[in-house]
Amino acid sequence: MEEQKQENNQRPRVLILGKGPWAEQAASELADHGAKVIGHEAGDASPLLAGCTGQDGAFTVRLMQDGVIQQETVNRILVLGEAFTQNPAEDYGLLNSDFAGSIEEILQNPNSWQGKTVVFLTGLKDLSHQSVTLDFLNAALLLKKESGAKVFIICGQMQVAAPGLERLLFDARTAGVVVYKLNSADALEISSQKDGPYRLLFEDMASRKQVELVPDFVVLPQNPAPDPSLAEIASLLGLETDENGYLQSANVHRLPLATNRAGVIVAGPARDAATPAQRKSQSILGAALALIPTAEAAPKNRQAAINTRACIHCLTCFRICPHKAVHKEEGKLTVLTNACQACGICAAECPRLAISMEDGWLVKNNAAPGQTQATGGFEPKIFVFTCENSSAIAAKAQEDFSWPPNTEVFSLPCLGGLSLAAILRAIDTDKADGVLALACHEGNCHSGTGSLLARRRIKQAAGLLKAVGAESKRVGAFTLAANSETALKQAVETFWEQIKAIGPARSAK
Amino acid sequence: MASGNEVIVIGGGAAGLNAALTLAEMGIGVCLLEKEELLGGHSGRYACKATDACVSCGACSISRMVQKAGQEKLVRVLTGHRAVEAKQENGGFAVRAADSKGREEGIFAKSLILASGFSPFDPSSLALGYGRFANVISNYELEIILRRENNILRPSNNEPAQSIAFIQCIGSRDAKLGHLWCSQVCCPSSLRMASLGLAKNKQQKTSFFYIDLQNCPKQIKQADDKNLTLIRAIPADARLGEEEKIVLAWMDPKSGLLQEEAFDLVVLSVGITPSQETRFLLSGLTGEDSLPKIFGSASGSVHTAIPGLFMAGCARGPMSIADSIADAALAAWEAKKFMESKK
Ligand SMILES: Cc1cc2nc3c(=O)[nH]c(=O)nc-3n(C[C@H](O)[C@H](O)[C@H](O)COP(=O)(O)OP(=O)(O)OC[C@H]3O[C@@H](n4cnc5c(N)ncnc54)[C@H](O)[C@@H]3O)c2cc1C
Ligand code: SF4
Ligand code: SF4
Ligand code: SF4
Ligand code: SF4
Repeated sequence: MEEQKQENNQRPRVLILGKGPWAEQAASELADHGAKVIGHEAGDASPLLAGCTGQDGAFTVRLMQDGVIQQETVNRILVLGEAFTQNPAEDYGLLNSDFAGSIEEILQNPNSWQGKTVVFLTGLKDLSHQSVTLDFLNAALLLKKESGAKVFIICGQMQVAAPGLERLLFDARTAGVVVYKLNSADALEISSQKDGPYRLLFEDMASRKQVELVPDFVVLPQNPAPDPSLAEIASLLGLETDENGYLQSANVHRLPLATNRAGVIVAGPARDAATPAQRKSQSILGAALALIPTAEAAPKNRQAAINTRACIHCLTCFRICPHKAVHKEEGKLTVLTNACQACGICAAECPRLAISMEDGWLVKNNAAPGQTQATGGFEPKIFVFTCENSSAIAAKAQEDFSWPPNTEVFSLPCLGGLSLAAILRAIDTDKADGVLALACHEGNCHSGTGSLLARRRIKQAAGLLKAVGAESKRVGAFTLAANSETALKQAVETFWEQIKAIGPARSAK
Repeated sequence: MASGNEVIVIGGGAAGLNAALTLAEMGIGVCLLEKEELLGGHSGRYACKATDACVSCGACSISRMVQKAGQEKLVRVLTGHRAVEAKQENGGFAVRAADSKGREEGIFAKSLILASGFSPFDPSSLALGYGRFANVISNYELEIILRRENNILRPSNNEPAQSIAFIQCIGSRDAKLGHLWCSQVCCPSSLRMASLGLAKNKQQKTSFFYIDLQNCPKQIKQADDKNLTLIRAIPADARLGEEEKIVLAWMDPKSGLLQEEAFDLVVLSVGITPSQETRFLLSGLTGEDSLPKIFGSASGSVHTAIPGLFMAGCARGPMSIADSIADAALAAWEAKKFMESKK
């Protein structure tokens, strides 16, 4: 039944952004499985992205080709980018092209290096990478075989963390390739001679002897780097990037190939620096994930709803939504139901309280009532807000853990939904003696900024309490992961003790 | 013989979990076999290494996947069930699973994903005191201590360790052992644990012995932390000092002289090695001892010599949690393609 329904549906349309072998690989995988591929017609220069609205299953993209902008609707977007490398010649001061250059210059004529000396240089002034090791070792072995040249590799940290590389290194050494590892870039002295080859001077760590090499050619690495067009794509699609500029952030919630925006998948050179083999599997997987009917959005009954009559069009929600789930059209704001993750950030930040989270969003966790034995004295009433992605899981996972008596536990899809108003209401209206926010670690928030926002609001609440003469320590925030059972227990205990020591909240405020 | 599952996944670690979840997302019924009572595999037992910010170790993803697998209707989870035999049968795969009481169940499916994982290298045979001195532990054991105690404690007295040595590449990158592979994860993983220890205990001093630092450009840049000393040498032996300290000796790369120092705790960063169980199951399926050739090889992939049989995660070679998750999703996709081709 399910399948038939899908077959009757239109062919899925997938936009590919990128070119090169990986884009080709993904395009053919998609085509093999009945998808219509947009943006990657064989032979044609691929179009540039000029804009994108909409959501998973129904994106409207604007594509520019030959100066003409075209509009397309697509179900999914697969960003692959293009392989891009940087050559650190300048960093090493090796700009003389006769005696230094890229691997291609060597491989044009591998048997012409008979009796010559070739040095491969990597990871001293630049960061090396497995793909460089792979290229270097293959080239070094080829040179040895074809020309019997004297081949040296001078490196910092030899990057062998990929399948087959340690074996290849072993083979290269066995074949007579000499590897020198240095501990810092300063350990290598490079001097240029007029119209002659470079002179390399360093101390061999193993023999502790000075080594001088005057190679006929110095091979410089081509280090993988994000292709410069990715920044524009990230900004047009509203995607997080990692610290280097690749399109998958280091947030583990995005594994394997997801982004903060449902329906946008990143793979290959757009996602990270990886070896060709890894990029190949990634592009196949990227195509697969573009075809799988994943339900990334939150259940509809938990999502945000905008009350258009209360809205003053400040656009805070539009800007702040980490999942690009707020749609703006003709001045009207709506929440996209295939994109909204129910994080509640928009609702907590809207200055007009014009956004409500539907029923069942704030789930009071009655499954875990306080069971610890009563202590006799004052038992503070504490409101704990847990995140369904981290602290709520850590609490559930341990059988020997129970919340202290008098605790009310709420679990939220994201602590970003815990508004300043809700924190103050807990103390003011619900007469809680303390409020504890158990958020995710920075960088591990499913909604990117939610945990930071929650911590900021707890700070604000503390400031407000202080201003009215109350104890600022009645509110606290702690960051935890889904596997931090012990830290959770310790945080709850510490906070409980803290509130117990402060004593009951004064009823008159 | 129980049927109704289209795919059997053996192993409920990072790889097996995501293989099962991805198949379910594609609408395919799965039987997930896990020999332990708890899902999660090795990495399901690791600690969070965030100090203030997450350091992307991946461990908490396992907790989320375990929760999801329990809720997913299309995934039939059989914990406490060890696959004791797997073979090709009637154009599909038959697996015999036994529970702790020895009761057996036969399961049949069209496709099989072997995600039965790896074995951490056993360093008992090395002269580093493992198994003899209480304060020599493996990185795997340190993960478990950190998870349970939220601190780095010495096994001898459960006090916080003030001086720690990490020794890398134990059982990896070792031609004598025939282990010509880098385990890929131990450098970043041990450096994260070292940094976490230093953040928790400002008095702590840590020495980190290594060959090459893999996959940690950030840490290499931050290496001037005054309490963290990176030493490019591997100590060859360890002896017991006073107060159950461990005395290591190594050739100092800077001075070229032999150096000695006593540490409260020595952590051996053991590598990812082929699991005998995976090897046995694969042999039964392929009719030959194929794992040694496949394990960590450049040509390895989720495909095997047998159509419909796929491998994912560390069962087929060293890889991180992130890579295991991706590998498993790809194996799930290939299993789906295989089944469609049979229709
Ligand atoms: C000390 C250490 C630290 C690490 N730290 C990190 C880190 O910080 N970050 C990171 O990304 N990676 C890390 N790794 C790597 C990480 O452990 C692996 O990537 C991950 O565990 C691989 O998952 P897997 O599912 O392939 O294998 P496993 O985790 O080995 O899971 C295999 C599962 O299969 C089950 N099984 C085996 N045989 C059978 C059978 N016959 N029947 C039923 N079930 C069976 C096992 O019980 C197990 O649950 C580390 C590895 C080590 C050794
Ligand atoms: S934040 Fe509130 S007021 Fe501002 S645009 Fe959104 S709904 Fe309207
Ligand atoms: S609840 Fe979160 S995901 Fe949904 S619209 Fe608001 S900010 Fe965006
Ligand atoms: S377990 Fe690892 S990935 Fe998860 S929050 Fe902690 S450091 Fe980050
Ligand atoms: S990751 Fe580091 S410790 Fe592990 S095998 Fe590779 S080089 Fe050795």
